[in-house]
Amino acid sequence: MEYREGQFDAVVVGAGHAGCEAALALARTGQKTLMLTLNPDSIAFMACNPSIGGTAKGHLVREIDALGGEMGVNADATLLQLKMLNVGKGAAVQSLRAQADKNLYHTRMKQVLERTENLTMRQGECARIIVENGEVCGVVTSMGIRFDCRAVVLCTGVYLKSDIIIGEYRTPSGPSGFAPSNELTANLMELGFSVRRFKTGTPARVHKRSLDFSKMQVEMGAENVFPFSFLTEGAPRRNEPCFLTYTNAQTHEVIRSNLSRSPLFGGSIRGVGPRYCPSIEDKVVRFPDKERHQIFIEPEGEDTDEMYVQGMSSSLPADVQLAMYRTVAGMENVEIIRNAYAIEYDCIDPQDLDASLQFKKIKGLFSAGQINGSSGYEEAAAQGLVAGLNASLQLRGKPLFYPDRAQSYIGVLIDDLVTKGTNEPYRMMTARAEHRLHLRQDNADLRLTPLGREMGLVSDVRWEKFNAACEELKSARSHLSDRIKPDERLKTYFETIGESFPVHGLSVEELLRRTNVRVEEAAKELGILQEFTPLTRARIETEAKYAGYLDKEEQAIARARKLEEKEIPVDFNFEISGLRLEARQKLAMIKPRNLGQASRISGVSPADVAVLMVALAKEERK
Amino acid sequence: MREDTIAAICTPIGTGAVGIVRLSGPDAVRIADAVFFARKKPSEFQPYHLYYGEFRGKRVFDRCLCVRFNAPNSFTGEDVVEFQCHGGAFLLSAVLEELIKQGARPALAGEFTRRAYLNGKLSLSAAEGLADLIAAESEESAKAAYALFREHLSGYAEEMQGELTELLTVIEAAFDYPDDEIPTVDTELTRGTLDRLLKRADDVLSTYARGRVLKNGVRVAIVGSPNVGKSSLLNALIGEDRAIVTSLAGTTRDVVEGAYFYGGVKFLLSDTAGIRDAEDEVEKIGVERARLAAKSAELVLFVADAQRELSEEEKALAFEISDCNVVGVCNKTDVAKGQSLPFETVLSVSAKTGDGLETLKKIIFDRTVSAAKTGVPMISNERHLFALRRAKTALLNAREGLSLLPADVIALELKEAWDALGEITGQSATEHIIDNIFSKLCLGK
Repeated sequence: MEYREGQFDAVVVGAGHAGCEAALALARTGQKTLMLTLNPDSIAFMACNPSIGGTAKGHLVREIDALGGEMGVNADATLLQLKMLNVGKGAAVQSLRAQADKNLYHTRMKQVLERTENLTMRQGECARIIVENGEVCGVVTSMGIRFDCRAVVLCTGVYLKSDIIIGEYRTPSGPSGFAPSNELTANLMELGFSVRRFKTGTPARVHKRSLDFSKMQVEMGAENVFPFSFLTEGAPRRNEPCFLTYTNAQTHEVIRSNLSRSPLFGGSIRGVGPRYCPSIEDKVVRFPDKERHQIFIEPEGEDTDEMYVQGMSSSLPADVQLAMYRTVAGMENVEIIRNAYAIEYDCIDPQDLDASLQFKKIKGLFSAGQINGSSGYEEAAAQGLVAGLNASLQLRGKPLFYPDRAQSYIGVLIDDLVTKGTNEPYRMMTARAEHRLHLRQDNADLRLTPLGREMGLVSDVRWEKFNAACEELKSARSHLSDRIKPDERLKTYFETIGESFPVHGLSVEELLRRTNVRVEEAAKELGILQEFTPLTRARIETEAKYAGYLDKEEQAIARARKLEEKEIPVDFNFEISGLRLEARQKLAMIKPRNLGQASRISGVSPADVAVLMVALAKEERK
Repeated sequence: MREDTIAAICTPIGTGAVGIVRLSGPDAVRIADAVFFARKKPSEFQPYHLYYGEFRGKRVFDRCLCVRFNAPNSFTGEDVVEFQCHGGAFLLSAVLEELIKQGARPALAGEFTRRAYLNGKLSLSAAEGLADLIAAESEESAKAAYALFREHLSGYAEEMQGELTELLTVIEAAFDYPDDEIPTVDTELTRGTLDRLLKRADDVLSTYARGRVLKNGVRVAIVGSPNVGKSSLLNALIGEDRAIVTSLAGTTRDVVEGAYFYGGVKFLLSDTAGIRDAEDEVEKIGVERARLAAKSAELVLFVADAQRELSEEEKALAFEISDCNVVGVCNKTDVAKGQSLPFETVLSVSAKTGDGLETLKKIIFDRTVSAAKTGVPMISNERHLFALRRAKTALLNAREGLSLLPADVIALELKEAWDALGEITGQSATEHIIDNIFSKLCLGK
């Protein structure tokens, strides 16, 4: 028996990291939004490691924040430790990573959602999406509750028909014992999605008191780092330790002698797992020469003694897990609270979507996060924000947001997914971004906040802060030509850093270009740029140090953009003589929006692009 | 936005008395100023007017016409300069090479048209012309002669990319997995690899001149006394390839009387006047020509008659050309036994029966093409030359910056080198590096 419970502009299915950003993006831009979740206790739940950020992922968090998303603010408010990675390897690859308090992160995000205007939270399993004349018009839950709406954002994470696997044991379940979603997959197939099965896994959670930290190395966070969010003031409050230990020959022996009981090797796991996040048994098998593997013990939160064993995800049977964990230094008496497990789940082929994350075949149906074949909280949140924002833009009758590879990691992520597809859970990496110098974490606001404002997601507070930061940067840039006298102070400073002394002095810009000059040090030692924030100082240092390279990259971006600007009509017919068959099929499937995207499809050669160009020129003349 | 400036020969090679070389892009006029000298500099030309003057370059000099078109009122919508030179493949490619030396980049197939399209300047007929051009290009690259060179070069470039991939794997993995145990980048080791790669780039760059010779054809001079069968040997070697002779007109100043393909390479044969008692003037010129032809050829075939001993004149000529790359050919073995000739390689053939001709062709090939193959492929194409130069510049930057610049910039230069080589191999870096990261290193939690 179906009954109607309400009418909304949009329904977001799922309340994980993608769902939260999608729902907030919709509600904050004035759309009456329903968030449908299997269980409100799993909102913004960190099912795997209690950590936000990391290389490239930290960039994503900054970008989400710059556009007006919540992840950065939420992480800053609940983190246990913060670090800047890759310091010393260059500005392009520096990235933030935080250890986050799992429960606090969930509770705070839940509260934000509860207190957001236009947002209704409701428990329920989405069983069916109602589509009429190729457009979304509602969803129905497994209990038969119908919600009418004009847009749906699917953020089902790893819950679709998921199974948890531990050795010979397999049971239908979502992560950490949460219920799976069983009915939606069949409906998605009816709607025309290609459904695939991926796999991922997580290590055990163990009791803090059973660990001997004296046998491990303490890993602290950094004291003076900028937070994730451009809204957050000051340095992080907390700095809780993590601990480093290693596996050893004995660990590997336990694993090897029990491989026959591994579901991964000849066992029941068929789903495709990520190469960059291998289980410990995978590592031992694939890299037999490696004598030890790193294990990081990370705190799950301040209100719990559960600890996360990073580096030892596994799907081996429970008895093997215990034996194997107990071989590790400092873990000899470990008490496992929750077992490590592998999880298999259904997801779609992201090539069914266009770059706004809307399903090509159904107007108003969007999807984001792990259902799209990605992995990671940050990748999910980034897509959630884009999908939610686009649903809102469409409802408001505005042009949609197609993130650009040259403008953000979000653009790289989404373009990779919808243009190239993925054969494994997709993880963001800096190596994937071709304009890396330009896409830095320190300038995410400069790249994206004006765009976020235009689309209505950037609040007045953020906008004012942004404009003030721009003014400050402008003013700091005007000091670049200031001369620094060749006095004793400069001489001493240059001696300590091993730079040759400029007898006629030098400008601030020339100073910052010197390899060994660090702006914070220089500001302190030479008393320059005092009136600016560390962020502004860091920005002008990067601009000075990378000037030539940034110019070169900007030219490359401009060239790439020319192709992006040549749009291909939505109903364009790719049956063009001169196009090879493979190219024709690929183009017809992906339906690229412009020549730039067409050129990135695998199987489409430069010659094919030229042929396509000619066909477009003819079309334009008609 | 700043495009680079591209250049190419716009008229079909080898036909016509006039050839056009076009420059397009923001630096077109600057480059023209450096090479064209008339009563005004190209930058002072009135646009759309022809000027007569001199094109001067390191290896080229031509009196020709020059015209300048201003953006956006040009074919491509950019600043364009065109040189209307005397035809001839050698001259035109030397003109192009000079333009590249001055900072232009060789245009990719159809790139002028592509720019015209992107700048909204493309006419429908030009668009259709482009489609033909693309078709022609793929036919061209399908040709055996071209494929042979390309395969060798592309294999070599792939090896270079392989070494770069290994370097980048460690650097990139360390970026994306800062906590994992990754072998650290050893500066000295990296410098060693970069030196090796630079040497490889230089090795192949230095083959350009020779590569071009091979691409345009290997010149083989046939010398010998009258009636030893030079013409019949020439005809026998040419065989069914006679037709290609006509299409060669204008490509070289030498008298080429025939050509054939062997092993994907074109061999151009020149027959010279017989050497005899040089009393009369005309004959004297003939002898002189024979000597000249021998000296300017890649290989000389010294033909003798198997039926008789060498004459004094023949011996003198043999001595004269002894410092050339010579193969002695003893002809008419159908009627007599071969005799010894004063050369390292001597072969007996019968132009009449065809006996020994295949062996001769193989020897010619080995002595010209293979001799140059020291594991280093040859480049003959401006685009490849440019790609390798780009790779070399990036490698040099990386090596210079090794202990000075941050790792992200070093990675940028290495990727630039990888992608420059990608213009030869047709591959792009990202996927290769990411795949290698995961197959070679144990990473992740």
